[in-house]
Amino acid sequence: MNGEKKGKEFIQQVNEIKVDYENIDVADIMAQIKRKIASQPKKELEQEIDREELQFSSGLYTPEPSEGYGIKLKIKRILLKIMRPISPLIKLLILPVHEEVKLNLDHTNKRIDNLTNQFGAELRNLNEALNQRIDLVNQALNQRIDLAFSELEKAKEYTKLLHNLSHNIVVELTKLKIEQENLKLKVRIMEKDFEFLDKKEKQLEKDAFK
Amino acid sequence: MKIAFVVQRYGLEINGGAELHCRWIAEHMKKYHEVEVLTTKAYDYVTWENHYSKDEEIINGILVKRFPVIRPRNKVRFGRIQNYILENEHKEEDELKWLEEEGPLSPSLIQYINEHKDDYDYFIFFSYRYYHSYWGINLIPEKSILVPTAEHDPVIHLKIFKDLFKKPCAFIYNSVEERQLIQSLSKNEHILGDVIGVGTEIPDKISKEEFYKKYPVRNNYILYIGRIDENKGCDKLFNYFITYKKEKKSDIKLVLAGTTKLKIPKHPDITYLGFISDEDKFSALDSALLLVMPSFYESLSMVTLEAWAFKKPVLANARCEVLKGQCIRSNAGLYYENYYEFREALDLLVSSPRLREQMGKNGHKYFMQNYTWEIIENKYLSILNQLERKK
Repeated sequence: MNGEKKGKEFIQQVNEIKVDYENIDVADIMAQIKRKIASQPKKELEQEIDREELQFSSGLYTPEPSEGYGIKLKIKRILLKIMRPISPLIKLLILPVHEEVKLNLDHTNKRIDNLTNQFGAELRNLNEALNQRIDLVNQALNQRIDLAFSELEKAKEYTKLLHNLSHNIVVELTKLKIEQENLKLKVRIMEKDFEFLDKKEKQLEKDAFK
Repeated sequence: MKIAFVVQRYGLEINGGAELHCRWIAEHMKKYHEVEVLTTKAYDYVTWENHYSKDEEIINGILVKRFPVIRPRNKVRFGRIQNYILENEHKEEDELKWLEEEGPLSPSLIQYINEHKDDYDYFIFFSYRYYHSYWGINLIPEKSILVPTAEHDPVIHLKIFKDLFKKPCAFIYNSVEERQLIQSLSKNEHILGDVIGVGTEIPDKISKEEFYKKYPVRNNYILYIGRIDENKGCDKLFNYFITYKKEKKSDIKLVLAGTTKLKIPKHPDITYLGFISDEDKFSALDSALLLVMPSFYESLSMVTLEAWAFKKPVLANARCEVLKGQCIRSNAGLYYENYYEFREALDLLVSSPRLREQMGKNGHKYFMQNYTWEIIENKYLSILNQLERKK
């Protein structure tokens, strides 16, 4: 639907002949006229005109005879009357078919050129619209990616921090563990010392009361 | 300086073409130099039958010497030989035979030039394609100036003309396109030449009322002035105009003025005025919406220049390169190659008074810059002065 509308707009644009009145450019006006003609399909009437034009150019055109041109005209008129029933056949045989084909080809070429232009213009419009949409999507996507990246950066920093923290905790815990082991060892030595002192005390007590 | 203008026909009755062009130039050049006209006794440009009886007469202060045509043109024989030379391989003699058949066959004119060549400083020949120009230039190339009035006519490609275009001592062209055509055919760029054309006299006062009283026309018409002839594209113009009227609801009319060799279709919107005087012609132009010029072959359309002098736009046949070129250079007219372009261009011009006005102004400017008599006379004098300096 959109394409059809655009096509109509294009044809309307071509059909409008723009003239810069302050600076008339005949070549430009004629180019616009040629474009306008090429944008229009041949109607039946126009094809009729081509045929008439061909008859003129091939000398087949016989205007209605007028009065008072003497005996030659009378003979001509009688001959024309006799020939009238078979005149379509004569015209068919004599009509320069190649001229008609040439004329049709000429218009067809102009139409093809015009359709190519129209197609090109449509394609350019579509391309433009598509590019605009791609740009918009791109923009949105970039924004989201930027956001995601900043989030990711944050997470990365946080992870780094956590990693450092856990590393430090592990180091501290290891230190504490070693400390604890040392203390345990000291406690055990002290226990043993106590046991020895206790035994020594008991021995001394024994020795003293003996 | 004594100058002879050599032309196929000459007379006040002849109101167009190279003959009128020659008369106007001769009448303007007589202010500066001694001028004579050498011509034939023919009036009819088809048969060249002797029409004028006097051998000498004064027309508008210029001595005109007339020479008889010894044999009028035989249309059948001429047509046959023309077809032969255009469609078959042929010899130079065939082309010379064609030239003789084309006429105006006036050997006494050539004999006079031969006998009196020393009496004149320069001979200005009008129309390359006729007997008088070919043999005259071949006799006295060093004193010949040619105003070719050439068109895109198949005969221009004949060998005799390619050689002829290398002979004169100077060329006076009517248009840029004509110069290009002749130079491309004969490579004669080295020969002195200029694009000059012809001026026109524009009356100060025009009485439209008188014109309206005489003829049944009013403002809303397009005008054709000239010979109403198939060669001028008038048959196509009728066809296009009638089709246009069938197709469009327009009250526009086509008014024709000039002598006719063609049957004019009976149509309520086509008015034929017949042959009209110069005053009526200018009144008709002044009242018209635009001038239509359907001719296929023109080396210079004087009536187109007159339309521009009257600030009227022109609708011309694009197949005539000169008219198309002038429309583009002046930006004062549209052109058509076929009916569709005729319809669109006519529609545009008729529907837009502003466009017509602006194009008319452009046309007037173009006319004033190139075709006033002062400019034309000076250009002719400049060519003659340059030739004198070369001597």
